[in-house]
Amino acid sequence: MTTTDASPAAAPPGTDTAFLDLRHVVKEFPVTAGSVLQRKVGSVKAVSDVSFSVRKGETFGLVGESGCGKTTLGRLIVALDRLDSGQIWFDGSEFSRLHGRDLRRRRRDLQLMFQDPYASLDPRMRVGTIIREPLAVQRIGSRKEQDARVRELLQEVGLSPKSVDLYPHEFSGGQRQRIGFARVLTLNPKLIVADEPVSALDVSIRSQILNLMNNLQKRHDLTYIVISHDLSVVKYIADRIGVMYLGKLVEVGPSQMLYDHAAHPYTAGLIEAIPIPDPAVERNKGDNTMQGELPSAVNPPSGCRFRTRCPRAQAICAESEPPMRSFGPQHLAACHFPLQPAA
Amino acid sequence: MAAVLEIESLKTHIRQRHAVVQAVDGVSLSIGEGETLGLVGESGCGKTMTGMSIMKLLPPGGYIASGQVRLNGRDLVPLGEGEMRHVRGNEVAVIFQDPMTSLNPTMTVGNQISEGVRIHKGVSRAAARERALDVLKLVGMPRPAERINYYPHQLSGGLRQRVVIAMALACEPKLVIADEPTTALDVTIQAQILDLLTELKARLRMAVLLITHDLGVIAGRADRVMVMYAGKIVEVASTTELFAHRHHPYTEALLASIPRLDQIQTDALYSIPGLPPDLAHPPTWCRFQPRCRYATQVCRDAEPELGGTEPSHPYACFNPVGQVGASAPVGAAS
Repeated sequence: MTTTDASPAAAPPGTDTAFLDLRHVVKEFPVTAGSVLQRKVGSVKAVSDVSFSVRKGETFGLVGESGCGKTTLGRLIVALDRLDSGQIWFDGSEFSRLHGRDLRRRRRDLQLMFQDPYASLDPRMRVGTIIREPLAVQRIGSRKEQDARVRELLQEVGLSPKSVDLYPHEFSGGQRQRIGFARVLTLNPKLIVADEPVSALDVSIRSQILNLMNNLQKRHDLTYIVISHDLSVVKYIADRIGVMYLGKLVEVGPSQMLYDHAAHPYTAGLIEAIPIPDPAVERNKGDNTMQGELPSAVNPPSGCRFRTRCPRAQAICAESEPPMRSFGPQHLAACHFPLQPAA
Repeated sequence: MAAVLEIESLKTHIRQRHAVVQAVDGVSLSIGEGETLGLVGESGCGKTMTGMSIMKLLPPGGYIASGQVRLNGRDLVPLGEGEMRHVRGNEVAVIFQDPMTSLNPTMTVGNQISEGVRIHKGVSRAAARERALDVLKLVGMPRPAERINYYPHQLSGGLRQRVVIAMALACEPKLVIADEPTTALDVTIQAQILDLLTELKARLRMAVLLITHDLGVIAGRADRVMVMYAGKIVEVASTTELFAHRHHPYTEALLASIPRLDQIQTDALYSIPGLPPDLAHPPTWCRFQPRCRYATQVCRDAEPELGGTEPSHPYACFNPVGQVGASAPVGAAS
C-alpha cells in the first residue's frame, strides 16, 4: 500500500465496506470585517482535506490540540455543520448529500455526545423528558412505550428508574454524563461521536464512564468516534487513532502502533508532553518539550503546517505539502522527514 | 531546610443557610525553601480551600475556624484585612487555573504586572514598568517589549498563563500557590508552563504549593505529595516513595483508575464506587470506608489518625494497602 491518495489507503485492508468513510472533507469558516457590510476578509481553514474511514464496531480516536479542527470534524460527521467540499459516506450511502426529511430520518443513526454534562442538559427539564425528547421528535411509539424505553435506558447506563422525575442539578457530574449517554442511546444509533466524553469529570469518575462506554459498545455493536485532547484516554479506548494538526490529519494508525512507532514528529511531541503518573518515567524524560503554539488557521504555514514548530523541518517542508505515506499495516503519516522508515 | 510555610491543624468552614460545611478539617503541612509540595485529590476534597485559607481569600461564609498558618514564623490567621493586603501578591502569590478569567481584560499586560509592584514596593511608575519587562522576559514571553502593551485578549492561552506567572513573580514572593496552573491549557503548552515553573522555582528559591487533580503532573514536578480526601490529609510521602509504596487505599484507587499512556491496558480500569461524604455532616468513622475495598468493622467504628510506622510516610488507615491478607492490590502494574 504505497499510495499518496489518502482516501482508499485510510480504509483498513480487507474491509472494503467502510462503515463511515470521509473523503477529502473540507470546511472553512468565513472571517468578516466591518459592522454592517460584513465583508469576507479571509477564512479559518478548520478542516482541510481530511480522509479516513472507520469499520463497524470500531472505536476511532481523534486527537489534537484545541483549534486543530477535531470538534468541527465531529460536527460534520453528524451533519450539524455542512461541509464545503468532499464526501462523507455512512453505511453505504452518501450521508453528506442528504437534506430535509431524508437527513432527519437518517440522522437517528448518528448521535453526538457532548463534552460538558453541566451545560448540555436543560436544567428546567426532568431527566425523563430529556431522555424521551428524541423519541417525541422522531414520533416513535406511544407515550407508554416511550416511558418504558426511558426506564430501560436509565437501567442500561446504571441509574435508578426513579431518576425520571428528578432534575439534572440533583445529579453529580458522572451521573449527568450517564444521563447524556442514555439520551444518545434513545434512538438506537449505530455510530456515536463522543466529543471529550470525560474531560469535564474527576479522575475517579472518568474510569466509570470509560468502562460504561466499552460495555455499551459490546452490547449494542456501536461504532465510536472519540474526540479528545487527552491521548492517554484515547489510547485506552480507541482501536485506531487519527492525529490532527491545524485542520489536517497528519498521522493515523492502530493505537499501540502509534504510541510505539510514531512516524510524525507532532505525534511524538504530543506523546512526550503527556505526563505519566510515575516519577521514575517522568524524571527520565529528556528536555525535548515541543516549543511554540498552534499558528493561526486563517493563514496556515505553507507546505507542511507543522513546520513552524517541528525540530526536523528543512527547506522542502515550506515548499511542498508532504503526502500521506504508509508506515506499516493501517499506519499512515504525512511527513517529509518521518521518525520511522516508510514501508 | 527552613520551613517557609507551616500550617497546623487548620480547620476552614463555610457557613451556609442550613449547615456548616467543614471543607478543611485539621490539615497540617509545611513547605521548605525551594520545595514543591503537591496537593492532590478530587474536586470538593478541600485542596483549593486549603490554598485559599493561606491567602485568606475565602468564599462568602467561609472562615478559618481554628489552626495556624505561619509564613516564615508569623501567624497569618489573626491578621486583619489591611495587613493581609501586604501579604497577598507580595509574600504569597497565587497562580489560578484559568488565565482567561484571572486577568483584567481592560488593562494592558504591563499595567497589570506593574500595579502590584508599585503598591507593594512603593517604586515609581517607570521602575515598576522596568520590573514588569524583566519578569516578562523571565517567563519567556516572546517579544516582551511589544507584548507589554497588549491586552489579555490579544494573547493566546499559553501566553496569558505566562503573564499570570509573571504577575505572581513580580514582587519575588516566598511562596507561590499554583492552583491547577495548567488544567485549562493544551498538553503541549502544559509541558512548557510546568517546565517554566520548575526552572523558576529552582532559580528563585521559592516554596511552591502545587494543587492539582492530575497525578501525572504531580509525578514529574512535586518533591513531596499530600493526598487529600474529604477535607483531611490521608497520606503524605516523598513523590518517589508515594508512587512506589502507596499505603492508603484511596491513593491506590486513584492511581488504578487512570489510563496510563505507557502501558497496554487489557482489563477494565478500576473505578471507585460511590461518592465522597457530605462535609456538612462528616461521619465519625473513616471517611473513605463506604468506597473502600479493604474496609472492615474497625473502619466503621472509629476514624483513623494520620500515623503509621514511618515518620516520613504517614497515612490514615486501619487496613493499609499490602497489609491485608486475602485481597490482591488493585491495578497492580503489569
